[in-house]
Amino acid sequence: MKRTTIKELHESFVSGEKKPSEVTRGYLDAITSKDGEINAYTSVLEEMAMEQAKAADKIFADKKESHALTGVPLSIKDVILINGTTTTASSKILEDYTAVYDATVITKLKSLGSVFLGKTNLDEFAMGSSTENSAFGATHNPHDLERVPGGSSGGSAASVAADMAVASLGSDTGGSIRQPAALTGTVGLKPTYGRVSRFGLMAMASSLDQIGPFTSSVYDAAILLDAIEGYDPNDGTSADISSHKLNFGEMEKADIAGTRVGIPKEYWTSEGVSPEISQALADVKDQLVEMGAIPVDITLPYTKYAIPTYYILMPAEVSTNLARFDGIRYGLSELEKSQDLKDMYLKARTEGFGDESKRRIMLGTYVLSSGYYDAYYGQAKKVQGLIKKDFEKAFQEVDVILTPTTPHPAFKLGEKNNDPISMYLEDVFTVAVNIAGIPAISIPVPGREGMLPIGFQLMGKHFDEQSILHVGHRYEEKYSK
Amino acid sequence: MRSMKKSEIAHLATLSHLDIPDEKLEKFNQDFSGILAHIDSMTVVQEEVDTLPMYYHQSLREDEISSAEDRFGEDVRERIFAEFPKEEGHALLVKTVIKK
Repeated sequence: MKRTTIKELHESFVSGEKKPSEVTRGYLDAITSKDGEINAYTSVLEEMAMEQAKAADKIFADKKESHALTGVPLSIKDVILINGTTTTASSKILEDYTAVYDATVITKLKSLGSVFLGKTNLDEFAMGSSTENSAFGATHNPHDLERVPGGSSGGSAASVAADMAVASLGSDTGGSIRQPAALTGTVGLKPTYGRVSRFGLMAMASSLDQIGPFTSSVYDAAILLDAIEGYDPNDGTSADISSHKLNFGEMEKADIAGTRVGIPKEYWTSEGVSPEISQALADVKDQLVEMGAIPVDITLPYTKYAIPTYYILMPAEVSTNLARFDGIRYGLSELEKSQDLKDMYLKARTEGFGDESKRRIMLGTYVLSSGYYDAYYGQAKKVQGLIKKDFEKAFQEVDVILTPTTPHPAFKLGEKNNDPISMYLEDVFTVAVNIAGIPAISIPVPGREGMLPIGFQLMGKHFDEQSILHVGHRYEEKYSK
Repeated sequence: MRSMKKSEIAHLATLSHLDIPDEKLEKFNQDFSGILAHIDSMTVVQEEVDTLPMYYHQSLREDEISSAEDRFGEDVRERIFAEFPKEEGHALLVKTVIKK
């Protein structure tokens, strides 16, 4: 299905061929007709969207200065705060919670005149790889409704894949943008840690989380990243990226001949990768070589510890971050049913959290507890340093690294619900990126009409989104149009 | 494979302010044991990491004092109070902790 891109839409707004309010109305109608069976949205912001769209109409009618995102209908993962709207993290504990401020990324998009169609479904508190852990029902993959869209940003991915939004913002802690992008045939980018402000993003693992775009093209991902990135005094971990701003001219004009593409053996010879994925990646590699890229064999020896490291560090931070949901400050409260304060905490949290959230909170409590802290958390923090060094060494020899995004295409709903390890291994190719803090993008493998989508992943060095976007865009221009 | 006792799972739940009903304890126990077996594979790098420091890649800015009203608007207190499930005169009502 050919979806409209941000670039195409902006051109049609400027030329007067289309109006933002008409396009927004079209997407709202698409949500009404399609989302009953996909369940990508937790809430639709019809009134806000039409108000924003009409404001954008005026900008183009008056021929005022506009941005590529002016009037463009977007969906937003329901873990990013939009002031005055319900923000649930797809959890019962926040079912009726209304955000009291805008996330920085929302403030930036509002200033550009973007349109927010609604909030999208996710695995509860961004914990999962299938969007089946939502308190409001699973999201279905638009390519096959019996399959998962991936997770945790499955609603965002599905909304773009099903043409119910032009683009979306998701969040990625261990692959939660890239994995669903691969399973739904969309582009998904996780920026360098610190490139995009986390102010207003409900924290899952604060040292790993990043907000990033879902789009229908690599160029659109660059547009959206350029709009939302930047230093934010409200986020103590955000970075000054003034010397790393994207160069769109180079992205569009320069070819990629001479670009060194790392082929890490640990990712390419991994057990459990479907033959379909292995063949697709081999084809992508050959295509990049045809474009003049130079393949370089590299090794990332600590890759095998990436999943265990992640499943120590992430739950440790989750257990701390979710301690704030105590039935007092926000969300579900069991005040009337409780005997005392401690009972109130217990009832709100037991009633409000799903099983996967509980599992991860308890795992985090365990690895941080006395007697186990050094053996687990301390060890994992040291191995994190080794994984980061793996990438630093590799990037001395290569410009980008090419890997599969997922071990196989989308699996069936319910297939992995009873086996947490099997579900966790869905992120085997994505978690090391978050551990190291580097950027990575998943791009659809072309030529798969009528088949389940597959994605390939490009990783870059810190703050070098330029290289992965450049290679991705030029590849897309040659093979995906 | 390391296996945990149900009592250990129940204790973890208590520490986490969660109540896992008896009928779910066994499943949680199985899941935990499987996860721990997987993350225990980290111990093979013990010797390599023993002398390494723990890795932190953030550098945090100095704390800056500012008023809530300046940052979030004049009505920030009212908006926070509006989120309380029960209040009395701008005090948050909770169940009694210390009984007389």
